[in-house]
Amino acid sequence: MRVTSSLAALALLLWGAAAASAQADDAAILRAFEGGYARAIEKAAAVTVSIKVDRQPEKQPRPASPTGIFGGVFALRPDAPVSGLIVEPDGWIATSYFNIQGEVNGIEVTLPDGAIQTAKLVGWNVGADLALLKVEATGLPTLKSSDPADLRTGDIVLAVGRAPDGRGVTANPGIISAAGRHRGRAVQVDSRLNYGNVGGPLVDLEGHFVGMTSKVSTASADNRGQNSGVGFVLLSSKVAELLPDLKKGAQVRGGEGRPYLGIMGDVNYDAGDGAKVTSTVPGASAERAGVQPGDIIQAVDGAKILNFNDLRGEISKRKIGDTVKVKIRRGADQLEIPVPLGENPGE
Amino acid sequence: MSRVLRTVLAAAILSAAAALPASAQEDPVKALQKRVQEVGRKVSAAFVFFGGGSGILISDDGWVITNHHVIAGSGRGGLEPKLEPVTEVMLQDAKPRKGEIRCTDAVGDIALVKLKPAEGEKFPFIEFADSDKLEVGQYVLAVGAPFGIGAQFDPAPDARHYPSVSLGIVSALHRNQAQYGDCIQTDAAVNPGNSGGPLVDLDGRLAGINGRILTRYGNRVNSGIGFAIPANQIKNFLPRMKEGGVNRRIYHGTVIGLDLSDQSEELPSVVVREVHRNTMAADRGFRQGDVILAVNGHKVLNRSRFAGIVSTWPAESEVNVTVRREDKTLDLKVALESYQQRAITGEVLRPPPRSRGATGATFADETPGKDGPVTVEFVSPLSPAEEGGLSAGDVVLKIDGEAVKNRKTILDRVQSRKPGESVTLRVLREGEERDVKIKLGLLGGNED
Repeated sequence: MRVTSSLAALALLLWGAAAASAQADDAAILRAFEGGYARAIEKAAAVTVSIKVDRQPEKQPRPASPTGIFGGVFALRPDAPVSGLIVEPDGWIATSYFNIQGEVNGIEVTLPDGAIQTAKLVGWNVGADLALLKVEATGLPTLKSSDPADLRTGDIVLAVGRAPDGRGVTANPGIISAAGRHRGRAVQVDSRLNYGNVGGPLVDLEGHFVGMTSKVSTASADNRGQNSGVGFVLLSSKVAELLPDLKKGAQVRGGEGRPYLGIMGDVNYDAGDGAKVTSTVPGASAERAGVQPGDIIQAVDGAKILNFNDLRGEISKRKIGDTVKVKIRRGADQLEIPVPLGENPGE
Repeated sequence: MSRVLRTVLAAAILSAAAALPASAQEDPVKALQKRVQEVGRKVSAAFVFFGGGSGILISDDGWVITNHHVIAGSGRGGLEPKLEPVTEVMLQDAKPRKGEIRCTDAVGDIALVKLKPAEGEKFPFIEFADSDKLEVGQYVLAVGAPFGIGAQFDPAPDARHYPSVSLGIVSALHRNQAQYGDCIQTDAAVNPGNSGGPLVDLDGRLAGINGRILTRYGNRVNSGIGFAIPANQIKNFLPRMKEGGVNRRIYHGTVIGLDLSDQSEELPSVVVREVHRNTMAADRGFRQGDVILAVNGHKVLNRSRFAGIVSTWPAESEVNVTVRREDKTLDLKVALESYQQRAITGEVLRPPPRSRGATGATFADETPGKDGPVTVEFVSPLSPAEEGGLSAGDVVLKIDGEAVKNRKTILDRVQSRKPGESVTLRVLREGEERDVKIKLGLLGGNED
């Protein structure tokens, strides 16, 4: 009897120990999980800066819908500090071009150690959505870059930015949704990218610099500043490649040299009967030729257009100065309008 | 503590530790990352790009599933969507391929397409998960072509075309959302273009097909709420769909003739308030006062869930409805009638008494609970609203000449009419006002 009860007690003790240890292991896994994120965030935080941009008030964006009830305030860029990152120890700061766009009176950078510095806008590249700032500093920390060739769809990544007060960081985990986008220049991520954290670093679990998170457009009628889970990140290798020119003051606009109709289209219009024009750029060729918002572009030089992507592809095959015949459905009318292609102004 | 006991304890702790997967002990985040990479790669290989949407191969001989609304369009302008015999699709190699549209399920929003393999060709494909075993909180991946990204332009540096992979969790199960009667809710990023693409578990198996998202302010981007049609529902329909259905269409099942109430004393369940005469429900032995407990073993929590479960089987399937009658529990065998033919088109064969009209669309107040603009949130395929030419995003100004103050103005008017009668909505679309006349139908589910 005594033996049995001691055995039972031992069994109970062992069971209890095993259960407790399983719980401890669960907790350990969770701690390791959180630790994995935290280590990467800590590394990124050391190079993430807060940027205050003093700019002339922006024009109210065109309402996204004719009723105006959907556009308005949601499309406005909040008047709050944005993020950037240190790319070289002697005061070189990269950020998204989008962040310093507009008529800028002055830029102030809060470094990770809290020091506030006036920054000079040195150069930019609109197509890459990259701008370079300079502050007077030496010995700033930088991140080791990841090798773009090692990036895989499914990699866990963290988008890091500075909180609006500039003290703490914001971190948004996600994965690489596609490892090669924008002709291999960018990766696509599902991390939450919004006004504010854009321009900061995206790091992998080692805390290595994958790239700089890219713009949230105010121009597009389709995006109104809301994160969709589809974001783009300019690769670290491309940042490095563009850096020497930017340091010399290069000011490169985006689609320069590319043919351009001068319309905004609805990328969500999926009726499959053409590309829907949401607005025309004042003074650009489409408007001068008589294209109107609401038009459905159904063909270009006889090539059938099913959606906005088709239209972009068809136009990109042509040269500036070419005249294209654009077939349009406007309400119940069918029109064919010749449009001479202009040059993309890059914004 | 004796030395023996200490040793035994140490051994027990060690063995518990050894039971953990080695990778999790090393670094659980890396283990997750590795799994996501593997599953992403495997599912991307079986992914199919459709013009404005997504699809997934489910067999090596070329069966592909996508959404009905991807291959049939939305049938704007009051026309029933035309079903083409073939559609053009592409895989990672971007070679245009012909997909034969074999059958489509307009209500369940699933279409079945067949690709023809070349001589000796075996397609990569993914297996089905048992979607009834999913758990809220479980990791899932959505694979698709959001906004058409990856489809036509911008191949990856290896010249192949890759879909986008996003990670999230199962947020909720068994949602009854408009015509998605039993859907999976996920926070994995799903956007326009993801439609028809797979939601997979971390074993790379098909949990569901992504098809709808909830959005705010007409802004059609992901809000963290996406809905997928569950794999098990698709499995119920697949055999008949492979045979081509009825003229390449397949209809959902329903039980006609039951007036149900959630006011059951025995919760959770629903109680039969009335059984309409000369209906299938009466034929099959339903009686007033029956408490419906389950359908094919799935618990029935409320009326919406009852409609939802039943809609996961095609018409003419036989289901087992478990009811409590007084102190007995009975199983009623019920052959389901066709939801689509009888109800959704407005051709009501035997309208039950007190029947109220419905449009098949849902409406949303811009500011819930307050007067202001009302927009059309969703239009069910083949519904009276769609046949009348109503579109999601339309702003409703008037109904039968009465100014629309809020969503309730519309619902009151619609429900005061009988199926077969009409309402005329004055709507604002793309800056133009137009009238949309809708011949009302009788709908089950939770549409307005």
